[in-house]
Amino acid sequence: MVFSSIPFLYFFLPAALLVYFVAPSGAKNAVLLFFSLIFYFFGEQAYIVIMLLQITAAYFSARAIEKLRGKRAKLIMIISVGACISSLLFFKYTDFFIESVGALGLPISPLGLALPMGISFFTFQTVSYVIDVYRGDACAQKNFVSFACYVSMFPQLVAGPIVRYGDIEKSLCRRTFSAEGICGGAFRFAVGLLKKVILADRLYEFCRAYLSSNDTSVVFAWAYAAAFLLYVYFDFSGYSDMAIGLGKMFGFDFPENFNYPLISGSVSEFWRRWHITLGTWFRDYVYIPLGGNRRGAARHIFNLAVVWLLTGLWHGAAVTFVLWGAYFGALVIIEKLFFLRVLKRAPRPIRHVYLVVAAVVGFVFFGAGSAGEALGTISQMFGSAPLISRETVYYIQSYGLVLSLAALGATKLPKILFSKIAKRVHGAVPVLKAALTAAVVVVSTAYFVDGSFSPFLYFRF
Amino acid sequence: MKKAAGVLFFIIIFSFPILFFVSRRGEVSLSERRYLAPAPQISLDGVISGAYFDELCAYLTDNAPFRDALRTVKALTEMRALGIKENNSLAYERGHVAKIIGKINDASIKNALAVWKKVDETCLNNCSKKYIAIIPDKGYFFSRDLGYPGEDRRCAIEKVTRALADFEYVDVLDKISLDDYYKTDTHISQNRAMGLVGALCEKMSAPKSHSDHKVLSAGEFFGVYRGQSALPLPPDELKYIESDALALCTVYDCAAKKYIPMYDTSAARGRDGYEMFLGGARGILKITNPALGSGREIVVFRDSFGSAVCPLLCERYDSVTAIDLRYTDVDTVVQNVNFGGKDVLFLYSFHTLENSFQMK
Repeated sequence: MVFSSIPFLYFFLPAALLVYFVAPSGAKNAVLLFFSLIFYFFGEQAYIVIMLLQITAAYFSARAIEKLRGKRAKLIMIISVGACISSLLFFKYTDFFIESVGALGLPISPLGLALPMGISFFTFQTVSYVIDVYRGDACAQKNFVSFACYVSMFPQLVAGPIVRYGDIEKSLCRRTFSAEGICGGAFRFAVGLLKKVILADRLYEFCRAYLSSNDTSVVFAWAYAAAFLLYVYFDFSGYSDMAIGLGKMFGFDFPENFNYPLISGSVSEFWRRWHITLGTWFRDYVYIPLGGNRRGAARHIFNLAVVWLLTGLWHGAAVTFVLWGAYFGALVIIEKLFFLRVLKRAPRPIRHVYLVVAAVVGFVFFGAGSAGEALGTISQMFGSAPLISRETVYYIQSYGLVLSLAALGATKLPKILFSKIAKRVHGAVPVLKAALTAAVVVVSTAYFVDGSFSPFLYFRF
Repeated sequence: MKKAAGVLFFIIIFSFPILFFVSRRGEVSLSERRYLAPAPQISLDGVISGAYFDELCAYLTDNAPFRDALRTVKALTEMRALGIKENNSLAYERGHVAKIIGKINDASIKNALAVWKKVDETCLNNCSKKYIAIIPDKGYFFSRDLGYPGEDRRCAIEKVTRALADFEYVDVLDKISLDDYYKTDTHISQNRAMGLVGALCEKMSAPKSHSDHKVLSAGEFFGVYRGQSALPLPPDELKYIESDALALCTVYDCAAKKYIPMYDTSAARGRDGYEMFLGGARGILKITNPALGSGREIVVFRDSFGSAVCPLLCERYDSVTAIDLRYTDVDTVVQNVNFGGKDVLFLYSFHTLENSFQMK
């Protein structure tokens, strides 16, 4: 079940909110856990066991770590983290590994494993929790229901943000509700719907048009690459907005996951603004434990390379994701070595153009089905196709407004507009927000309904 | 006022399920001409496999209250507000809705050729002359004249004419224009098909017709593309041609073994107004013109486009046997149709050529 669907928006969410707010304070975590398990079971029947096993293992490990301390605690931490990571490695990377080995000519077949929904997210949450308890940065949660509620909480279960235990530790035990908070959450959810349903899904249509076209061109390839980057941004940040909004409705403050990454002036800055909770997770649990930048230049480069290799692999078990991670890792390393100093002397627009071009090219790897496909697109971008084509003209005319709105929407312009209106017209912003929310929800519903449409011309004859 | 956005949000999401449960749910979407997903039956197997949840999602989505109005909201958002030129692969231009044609479906053309060759080998040994004509979709004109995408369909025609080398090809591409089609439907309006019929008859050396035609109206007509596009378009007018000769013609349905009207104006007010021509979906029909006595007869293998064309051919031939291979098979054709000395015309649209797997 995805947030942007009729079953979620009009049946699951109202039912969950109704029962949640009717339930007494002491039962709210249990209610949230119950609905989260239903949410998960709706999309993933058998693999719910994997999530429950991880929750149980992390819960008891953390309790034991807190009780024992010392070397035995370290051993338990290693076993617990190892078990969680192993399940992620097994389900996500076994077939990738087998296929890679098979490519060398060994007679070995993939297992055909399906990836449990949200495993990359809930594994990182349980791992960070156990490590935080071991480090003494967090206290072990004594209430199993509360802990299970933290890991499985449906707003952030499937696609993040990666909520660290410390982020919501207090809220798990005691949270306050306000009409402003709940209504603010609703507006944030509507913003997420706008990004996902009205922008991201339209951008995806444009991308599909390019991928299925026999009439591509240099301009079409660049437009595709830019549209794909914007699609990933609006899709993912839209989902994060919906998750954060839902969190607010249920009384939680989840961390922000995106901070206008496309206005950055360098790749390093871009990654501080893009998927922030993943970046900080790798920083705190991989990069800094490896020594960060404190053990000399060579070790610094090595640490960055490890982080970017893992970042690529975390996004998916495929060569394209490894290349994607390697590409951005290489740019970050080059920037750290010398290029940032050069960039800082350049005017802001130049830095911004550099970042946009680097990101647009890099995300071609993210969207490609194979390394060959990615290189094919990049070669078209740099001249292996005609400059323009008939289909290029058609699709850019057709999606020109969507592309322009998306490009402007990825900047701070909408926020600046809202604040200017707020300054000039007293009371206009709440009215605008209300109108926007109603319009977005109705239009999104229209998209959900027509998404079920499939042409059936032969009904007639 | 600060909470207005949230209040509106919650009013909408709590009202919708109430409306869902109190509103009547139908089995069919008339505008889309398809069945809606039924309420799923719960079972342990279905729950464990997840099939139940997929069916439940389809049911809740398909049966949303205000479904048609919401589809129109989406179409208007897509095409008017966002400026996207197509919705559900349908484009709107110059008052016409048309399906974007895209790439040529080679697999379907191969299948169509296999079926037609089987017909040729099985049935057409003692016929007179063999002809083939391909009627373009509206999407062809959108691609050719209005800048819409689409592989050149003349390549598909070349494949067909190469494969059916002993058929004479009748080129009708330039005999038809976009304005000859209904604005909201796939088909050509019968009163605008005279150019097409003239080209066919000229190539087949059919006798000239001296009938005085009267163009009559069967009322308003919402074509298939109106519902699929969900755009709030005005209706077309369903027109048909009458003449003294046509009034004397009889139409016999070989499968149902009964005579049917050539034009059933009561069907014009039904689910699909175009079914008024030759009774809609029928396998083998024999149209007889008792007044002509030309000694010429023709067998037309056709799709729905032929429903409006075959009556006009009957003004030039003593009989027209109209065969739709989507509703009958070659064995049945062999048993019911005598091809001896008759002209044979394969009259198909691009649409059937590229969706040929329904032909038997």
